[in-house]
Amino acid sequence: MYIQRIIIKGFKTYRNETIIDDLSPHQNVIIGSNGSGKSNLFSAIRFVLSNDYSHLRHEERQGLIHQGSVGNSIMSASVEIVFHDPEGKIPLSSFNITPKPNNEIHIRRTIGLKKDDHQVNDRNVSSTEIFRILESAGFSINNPYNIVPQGKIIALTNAKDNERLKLLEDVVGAKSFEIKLKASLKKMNETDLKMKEINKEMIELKSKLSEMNTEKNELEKYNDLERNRKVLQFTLYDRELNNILDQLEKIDDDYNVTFGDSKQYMQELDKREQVVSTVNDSLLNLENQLRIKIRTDQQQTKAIYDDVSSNLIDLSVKIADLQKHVASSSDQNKNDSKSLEIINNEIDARKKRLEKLMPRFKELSADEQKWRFKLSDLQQIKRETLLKRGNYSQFTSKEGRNIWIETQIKEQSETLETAQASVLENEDEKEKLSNLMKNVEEAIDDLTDSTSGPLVSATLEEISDEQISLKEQYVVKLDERKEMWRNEQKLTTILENISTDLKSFQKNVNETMSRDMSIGIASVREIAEKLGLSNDAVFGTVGELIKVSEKYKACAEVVGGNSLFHIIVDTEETASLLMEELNRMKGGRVTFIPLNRITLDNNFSLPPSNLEDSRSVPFTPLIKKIKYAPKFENAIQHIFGRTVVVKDLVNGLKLAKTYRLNAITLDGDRADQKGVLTGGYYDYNKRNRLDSLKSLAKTRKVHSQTLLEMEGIKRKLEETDSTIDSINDKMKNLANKKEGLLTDIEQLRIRLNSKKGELAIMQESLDSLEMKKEKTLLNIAHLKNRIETLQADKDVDFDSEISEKENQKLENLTGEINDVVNRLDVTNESLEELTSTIDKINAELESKLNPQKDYLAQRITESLHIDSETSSEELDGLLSKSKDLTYRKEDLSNTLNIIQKEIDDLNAEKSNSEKILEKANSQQRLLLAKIDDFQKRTEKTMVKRSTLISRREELQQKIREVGLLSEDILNKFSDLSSEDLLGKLTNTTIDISKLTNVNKRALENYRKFNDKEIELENRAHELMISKNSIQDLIEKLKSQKTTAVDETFKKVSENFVHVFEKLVPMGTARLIIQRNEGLDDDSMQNSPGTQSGSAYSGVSISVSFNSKQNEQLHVEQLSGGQKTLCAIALILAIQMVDPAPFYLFDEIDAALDKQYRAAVASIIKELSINAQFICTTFRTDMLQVADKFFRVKYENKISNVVETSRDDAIKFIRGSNKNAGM
Amino acid sequence: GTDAGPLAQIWLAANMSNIPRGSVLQTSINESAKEIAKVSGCEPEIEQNNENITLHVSGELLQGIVRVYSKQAGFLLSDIKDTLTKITALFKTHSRVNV
Ligand SMILES: Nc1ncnc2c1ncn2[C@@H]1O[C@H](COP(=O)(O)OP(=O)(O)OP(=O)(O)O)[C@@H](O)[C@H]1O
Ligand SMILES: [Mg+2]
Repeated sequence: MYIQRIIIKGFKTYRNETIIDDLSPHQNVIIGSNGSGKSNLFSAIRFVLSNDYSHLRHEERQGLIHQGSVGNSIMSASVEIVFHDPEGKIPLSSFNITPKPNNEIHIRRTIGLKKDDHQVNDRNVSSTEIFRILESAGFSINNPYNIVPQGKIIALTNAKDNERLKLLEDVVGAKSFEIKLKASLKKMNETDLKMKEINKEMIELKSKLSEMNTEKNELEKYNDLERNRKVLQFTLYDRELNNILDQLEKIDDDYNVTFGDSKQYMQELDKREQVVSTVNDSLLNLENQLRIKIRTDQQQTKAIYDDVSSNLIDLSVKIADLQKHVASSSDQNKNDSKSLEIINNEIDARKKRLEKLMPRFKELSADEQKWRFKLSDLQQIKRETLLKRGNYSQFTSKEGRNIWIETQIKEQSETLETAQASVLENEDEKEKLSNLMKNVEEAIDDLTDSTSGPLVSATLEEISDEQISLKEQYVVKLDERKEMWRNEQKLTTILENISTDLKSFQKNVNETMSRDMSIGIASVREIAEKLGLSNDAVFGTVGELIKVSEKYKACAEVVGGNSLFHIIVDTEETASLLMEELNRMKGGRVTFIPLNRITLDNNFSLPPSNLEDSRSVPFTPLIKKIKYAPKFENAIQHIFGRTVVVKDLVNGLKLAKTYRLNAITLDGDRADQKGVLTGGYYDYNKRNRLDSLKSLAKTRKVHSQTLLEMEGIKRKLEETDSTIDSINDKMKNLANKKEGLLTDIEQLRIRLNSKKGELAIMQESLDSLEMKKEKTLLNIAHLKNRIETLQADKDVDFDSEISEKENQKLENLTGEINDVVNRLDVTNESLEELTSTIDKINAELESKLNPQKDYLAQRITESLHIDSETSSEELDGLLSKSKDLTYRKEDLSNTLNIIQKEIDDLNAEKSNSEKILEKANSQQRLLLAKIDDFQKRTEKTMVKRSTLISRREELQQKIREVGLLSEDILNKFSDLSSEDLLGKLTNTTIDISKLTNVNKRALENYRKFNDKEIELENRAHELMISKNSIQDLIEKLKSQKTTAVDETFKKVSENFVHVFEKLVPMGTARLIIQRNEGLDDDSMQNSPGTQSGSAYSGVSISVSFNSKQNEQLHVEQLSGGQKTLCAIALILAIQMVDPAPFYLFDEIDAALDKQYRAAVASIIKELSINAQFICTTFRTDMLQVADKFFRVKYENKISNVVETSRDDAIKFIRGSNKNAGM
Repeated sequence: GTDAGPLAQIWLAANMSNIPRGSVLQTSINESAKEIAKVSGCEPEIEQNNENITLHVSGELLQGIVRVYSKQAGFLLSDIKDTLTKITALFKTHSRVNV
């Protein structure tokens, strides 16, 4: 076992986590500068493994935790030491510590200012526990000689003699042994006290046990007597029981024969009865079905069938018509389209031609105008020239002529002015006219919009849609109404059936009661209806209001009797009202039960139902088998509450008498509290009362339900009628609206046309105005020209003769005019021709083609809109309808066939059922007679039997009470007569009564506790033996201890001599043990261990360094280095005897010279084969023999450890020694 | 070292604070004591081939065996008391039944 790894964090200079790993199991050397943290490393180990640092005060803790610069402080320090422990020296399992892999044991201590925790393999342990763990592995915790802190080596040598003795004793383990011995002895004393107490209690226990023994004997005697009594009792009861059983057997045999027969008949009767009732039911049912089938289903189906057939015929006629119509309209359409196409073509051709002609026409018109203007110009000029010549010729002087010219000019100017004014006027007029036209155009736009705009067409479409949907609704409603009519018909038939049933049930019920009563009940119903009394006032007869389970029906009928016809009402007011009315109309007699008056008499109580003793009689309260609404509780209790149903009349009588009740058998035989018995044959017919009442009530309910249904249908029919009417109205309104709308549109259209005509006229007058203006403008130009000429003439010299030039000019003019006239003629001719062609074409277009086209287009759109769409749609609708109807017709005819077949089947079934009924009835009469006979016979035997049975049960119960007895003693008294048995029994009972105070469990208790006592006594005995053997052991161990101490001393001192001589070959030394007696120079060798451990007082050292024989010095007389050598020798000597797991030496060689250092190094080397050494040194000697080297570095006030090589370590030591000047 | 040997129970008793009742009652003090004496080397006539255990361990075992012994006594005492209580209770109910 050795230290493998050390992990330090926050401890002293080791601020950061520092791991020193892979320590050698042999020798390790740690080097480092002064103050770098080597000693701190050792103190870290001691911190964990010794108790030098236990019970730390605050300042001490602070001294251990790293203290760095302010603000960077650390709150805790932890050191973990990892041992490699392959031999398992530390017994982990004894301390409940889980082992770690690789045989590692992690021991860790963590301190903060407040905490101090120990952990072993991550488990928290207390500090005392950790010392126990370490101690169990052989550590010396209190005074470890294997850890030598810096400067403490000499202290070991300087220790007092007794201290050294203690160290040696510690090595032997004597000290810990003494502590444990002392503890053990103390515990032994404590246990002695317990032992005393044990003895005392044992005596007490024994006395209790003997007491129990007495009780046990008494019990045994008692048991014997008891058993005898039981056997006697059993024998007596058994004899009587056998007798009774014989009798019962005989009776039962007789009865079974009779009963077997009667049962068979009864079953048969039941069966018949059931058959009759089911056949009756089914007959009724069949008749109803038949009636419904014939009257309703068949008739209705037929009616529908006829209806459908006629509809179908109508429809096919319609379809044929429509098809014809569609065909013809589509033919016409085709023709129209063709014509339209032709006309369109014609129109196109004309238009094209017009287009072609128009440019020529325009050209010619322009030419014509040009020539015309030119001609008139020329003619004017000629005329004027001629005129001028004529005019001027009348004048003789220039003056005269000029005066005339002046007047002419004046005249002309005036004319010009008027012309110009007229042009302006013309402009005005034109503008007015175009404004008017604009208005008219706007009006036209408006009208077009309101005749054929989107709004109008949308409205029209809306109306059409609405019309269609209304029509659909109308059809649906009509169908609905038809369906309802059918239902009404069907319900009427059903109602008739129910009424018949009702009457027959009523008759059934009436047969079971007196006339007065039946009239009364009917009257009450009538009166209640008349007075409007609700169902919550008059509830009905009792029989209608209860429901009795099948098995108990007969009982209920018998018990109920006429009470079944009593009428339950809410209050006595209602009852008296009804009664008054009954009296008034002489309407029969009725008993009323007013709910508010009826009280329950609690004057009786039902027998407890869980009776289990022999007296009890099985019974069922009749009321439990009756169901009714909770509000009738009191009324129903009043009638049935006092009655219980029992199996046989004898027991029933008992019950009735004891509990003041009425008892009834399932057959209806009764016993009342006074002991009166009623019974015997019961009229079978009357049994039906309850059932009849029930059926009557049920049918009545169905009847009223059907009536309600009927009313519902009638109401619905009315509703549907009114709906149909309202749809009709709506459709009419819509048609009116549409018509009005169409008329409006027509009127608007007429107005539109007239407006269009107006517009055309206006356009025409506008054109003529333009023309006029044009003419005036021409005139103006002409006038201007004239005035100018006149002006010019004024300046010309007066000459009476027309100058040659003038003549020439005139001649030219005439020629020119002729020429222009010719041209004009030609142009005119062509223009006229062209105009007439154009006119002709236009006339064709306007008067013939366009109207034709419009007409055709209108017709086509109309027919498209109305005919083709609606007709084909309608046709499709009609066709699918016809298809539907055809299917329907087929269906209906099938249905009719089926119904017919069903009717036939039903008829067949009916006649069959009637036959069965006849047969069943005759058989039933026969059976009834036979059953009557049986009943009388059996009744007698049953009474006797039940007496026997009750006695038998009594006896059996008594035998059970006696209990189980073993077979061998049962027949002990069988030879004795019954009288003898009774005598013996009396004697035994007297004997038993003498033993009053017997403990029934004594036997069992005695056995149990006796065993226990034996066991306890054995244990006590064993404990005594144990005590002795422990005392023996203690003695042996004490002497063993002495021996061990002696032996160890002997070995240590031998080793000491040996080691010392190795270290100091010249010298010699020995250990001297000192005795208490004061014989202090008695050496170890001379005194072999015969004394006890406390016989020694100390160990001293005697030493000589230079001679083996020379004076022996005491330690105190030695130098520091010599003391060190002694101490090392002692430590190493102990090591050889009691090897510690590891050794920590902090600079033990500091005080030694070279020779001794080498010797220490070599001896450590030798020992390190078997032990781990961790040393610090400033010398190279130890480095030479070590295995591993670690260097502590100190940077920034923080220590760190690194592994290094031997050479580097040597270099470091040499270097630092040089630096230190050594 | 002694874990698996015949003294395992004793060793556990020495080191554990709570020993189960079953193992306490099963342990034979007499034989264990003989064994301890043997392994401690108190019987020189019986030659031990392996080394004797240390005094330290002997002390440990002694303490263990005493603890077991004391526990046994304690259990016995309480068992006896228990039995007595039961008997007394029984007498009481019994007398009640008969009155
Ligand atoms: N709690 C602490 N926090 C920080 N530093 C500490 C703490 N306790 C001690 N020291 C420092 O540790 C140093 C002493 O270290 P240590 O005694 O281990 O040195 P060393 O290597 O043994 O030196 P030498 O060779 O002189 O023996 C001192 O400088 C001291 O200030
Ligand atoms: Mg130091």
